[in-house]
Amino acid sequence: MISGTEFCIEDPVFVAYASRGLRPGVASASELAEIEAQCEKEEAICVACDDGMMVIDLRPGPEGLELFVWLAIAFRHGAYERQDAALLAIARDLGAQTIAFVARRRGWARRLGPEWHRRGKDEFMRRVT
Amino acid sequence: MSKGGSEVKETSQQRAMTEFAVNQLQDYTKRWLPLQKRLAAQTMESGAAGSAARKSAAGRANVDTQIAFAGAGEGLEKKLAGTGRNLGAAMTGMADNAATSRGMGQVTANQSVDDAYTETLAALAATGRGERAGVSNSLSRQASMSGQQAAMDAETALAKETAVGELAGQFAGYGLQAAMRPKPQPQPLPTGTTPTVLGAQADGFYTNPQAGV
Repeated sequence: MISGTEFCIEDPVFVAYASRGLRPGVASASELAEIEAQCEKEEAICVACDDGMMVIDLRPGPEGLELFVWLAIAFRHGAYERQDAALLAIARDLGAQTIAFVARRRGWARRLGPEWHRRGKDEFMRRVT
Repeated sequence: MSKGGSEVKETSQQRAMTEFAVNQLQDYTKRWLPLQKRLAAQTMESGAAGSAARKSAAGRANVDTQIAFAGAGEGLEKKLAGTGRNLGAAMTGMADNAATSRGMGQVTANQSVDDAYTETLAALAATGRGERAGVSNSLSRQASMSGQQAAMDAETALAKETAVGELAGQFAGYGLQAAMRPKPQPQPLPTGTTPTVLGAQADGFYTNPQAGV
C-alpha cells in the first residue's frame, strides 16, 4: 500500500493495542502514551502490515531530513528482515536522507547490516540510498 | 547556553526545518490515506451482488473459455483428420464442453470475487487486533483463475474428444478392413462327390468315394 509496501496507515489507537504484547522494558506506559499523542497530533504516523507495526516521524537530522522510528513491534518472526526494504522505501518517499532509531534491546548491532552505523551509545543510523 | 540553565534554545532555522519535516509527514499521510481508503471502499463495492467487479470477472471467464476452446477445436480437427471420425460430431461434443466450462468459469470467477471480498474484510477487521490478513494479490489472482480453468477444461475436452474419435476411427478402420478382405467362396463340388452327412462341407472337406478318401 503506502510507498508501494505492504504497510498501511493506522489510527493512533493502534499503538496502544499493538503494544499490549510488548516485553517489559522496551517502552513504558508513559512513553507509549506520548507516542500515541504524537500520532494524534499528526507529528508521527503509525503504520502496520502482516509482519508488524512502526511509529515513525520526520525530523531535522545531521544530513537533512531524518526518518526516526519511535516504536517497532514485530508480529511474527523475521519481520525486520522482510520489511527492512519497506522502511527504506517509505523513507525515500518521505524525502528523508537518513533513518535512525534508539535500540532498547541488545543484539541489534549483530543483526543490522553494514549500512547501519552506531550513533552515540544505543542509537543506530543509516543513509537512505 | 544560558547561565544556570541546561535548555538549548532552538534557532529559527531549526524551527523552520522542524516545521518543514512535520508538513512533509502530513502531506505524506494526505497523499496515501485517501488511496488506502479507496482501496477498502473498492473491495467493499466489489463484494456487492451485480457489482462491476463481478460482471468484469464473469466477462473475463467467457472470453477465456472462448479463446481456450477455439484453440482446442483446431487441435481436435488436426488430430482427427484422416482417422475416420465424424468431425462434426466431435465438434458438437467440444461445444457442449465449452458451455459447461463457461458456466463453471463464471461460478469460479464469482467465487474469486467473494474470496477477495472476504479476505479484505478480514484484513480491515483485523486492523484492531494487531494483525492483518494478506489481501494484496487476491484480486489479481481471481483474474487468472478463470483463464486457467478454461484452458484446463479445453485440454480435458480435447483429450476426451480425441480419445473417443480415435476409438471410433479404430472401429471404422476395422470394419473397412473386414469388408475389403475377400470372403471364401463355396467351390463347386467336384464331379462324383457328395457332401457327407457329418457336415464336412462346413469344414471344406469333401469326400470322394471313388478316390477312397
